[in-house]
Amino acid sequence: MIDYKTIGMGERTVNWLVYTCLVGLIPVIARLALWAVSRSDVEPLAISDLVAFGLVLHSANINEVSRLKVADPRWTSVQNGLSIIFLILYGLILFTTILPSDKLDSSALLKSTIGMAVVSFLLSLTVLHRIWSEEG
Amino acid sequence: MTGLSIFALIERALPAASIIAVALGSAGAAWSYIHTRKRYYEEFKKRRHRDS
Repeated sequence: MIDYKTIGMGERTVNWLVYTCLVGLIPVIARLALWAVSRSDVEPLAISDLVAFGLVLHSANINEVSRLKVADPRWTSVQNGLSIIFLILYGLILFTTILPSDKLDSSALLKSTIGMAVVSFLLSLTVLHRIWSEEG
Repeated sequence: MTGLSIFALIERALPAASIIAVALGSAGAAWSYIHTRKRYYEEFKKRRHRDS
């Protein structure tokens, strides 16, 4: 039996890794797997998959921030504000993928979405870091 | 027609908005990490002061 406290991982961290991070990455993993085994023109990464990952992370962030027992109001406002900005942007990016346009450089948009997904992951890690600190 | 012009506006603003979001998000993550470390260190100092 793994003792998560000894390795510095609480139950909430494991839950976050499995139910939020891993579930959010299912479209990305599925597409990567299909790209690896398929002979057809499947892209390894798609904007919609990364947007889904980002949406899952930020909605989980808002939930975890609201559940923190000893919350600093300033820190809470910053985290919630950033999550809202990212959620709106992800929605707009998804909007442009539904109605594709010649004027938009799709590879540049993919790169910026990858950047946003990485930053979303980092923001989630800072929320987890706060949870680790509060729970001891 | 209004819908199409809103879409054109979004298209123009999106690349810059993504870059700004990445910069803001990175700054926010760094601030959050430093803030948590500072707060945790102050709590640790208070506890040590109480115990000694």
